[in-house]
Amino acid sequence: MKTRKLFTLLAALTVATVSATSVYADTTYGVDIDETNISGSTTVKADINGTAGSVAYTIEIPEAIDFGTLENTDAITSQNFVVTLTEWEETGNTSYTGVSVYFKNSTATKENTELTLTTSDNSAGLVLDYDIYTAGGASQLNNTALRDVYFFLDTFTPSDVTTTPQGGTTYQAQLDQYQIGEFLADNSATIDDIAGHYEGLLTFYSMLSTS
Amino acid sequence: MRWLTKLLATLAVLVCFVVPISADAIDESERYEGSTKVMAEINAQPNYEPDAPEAGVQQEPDTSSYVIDDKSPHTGDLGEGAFWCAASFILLMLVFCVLLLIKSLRQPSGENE
Repeated sequence: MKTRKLFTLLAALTVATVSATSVYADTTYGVDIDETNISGSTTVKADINGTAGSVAYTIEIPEAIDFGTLENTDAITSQNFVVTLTEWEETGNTSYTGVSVYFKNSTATKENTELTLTTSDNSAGLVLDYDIYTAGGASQLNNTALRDVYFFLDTFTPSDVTTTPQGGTTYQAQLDQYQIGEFLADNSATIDDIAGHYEGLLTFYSMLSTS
Repeated sequence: MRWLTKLLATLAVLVCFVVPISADAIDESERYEGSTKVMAEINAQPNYEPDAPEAGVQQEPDTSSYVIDDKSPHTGDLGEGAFWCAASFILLMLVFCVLLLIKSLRQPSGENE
């Protein structure tokens, strides 16, 4: 009889836990905006209800970063891009002081967090790596993944809000073209073998932060 | 009834282990995602193809830096060497004629009579 009560209790606990997990997962992932929803520039929106108030914010990330045509040289090619906090609206009292933005390669794993470009135009197997820096290439941002496989980009505060086009914070993507020649030498390949359109997906995510 | 309770107990144990792992992997309370496409292009090396002549247009050979080697037939101007060779020959013939004329003048006039 005692055992039966124990099992009943465990069963109830099971049902309660499963329900709680479903709710938790739904809250955690929120809205996913993937490449199919890109139009102009990608906008990441959030409306967060705090304990005593709520915050609505909008982060704008670029639709695309295009390195253009690469060459078999030792030069580094770079491309600037801008991330902007375009909206911050607080309702009531909140403890949120800003929004932190993180980024990762869309296919990143814990074993490999490199930002990469690949192609399906040839079977040579060249994977191009690129890096993200602060403005002017001053400091590399994809050194150490802070959250799971994500790298920290920046924290935007309400004072950073701007609706001016390209008025946000500038960052720089850099691709070292040396890796092309290195790949050709290591694999006895020619430019014709690796010619093609290379593409990758940089995934950003934002979350509210408190000081 | 007993198998049901055993099943539920097993499930309960599993959930107790699985839930903390999931919660640890997704420990953000609120997050929103967006993606940016990153692109680059590598072009194949262009193959060298000489310009094809336009249809109906006959191209003239470029003679601006034409080289005649020993195997080529020498046509056209003979050049400076040939000029001097011909001039020397004519001069030699003239000298020969003059000598003949002098010799004929020196012969005694009675010999002819």
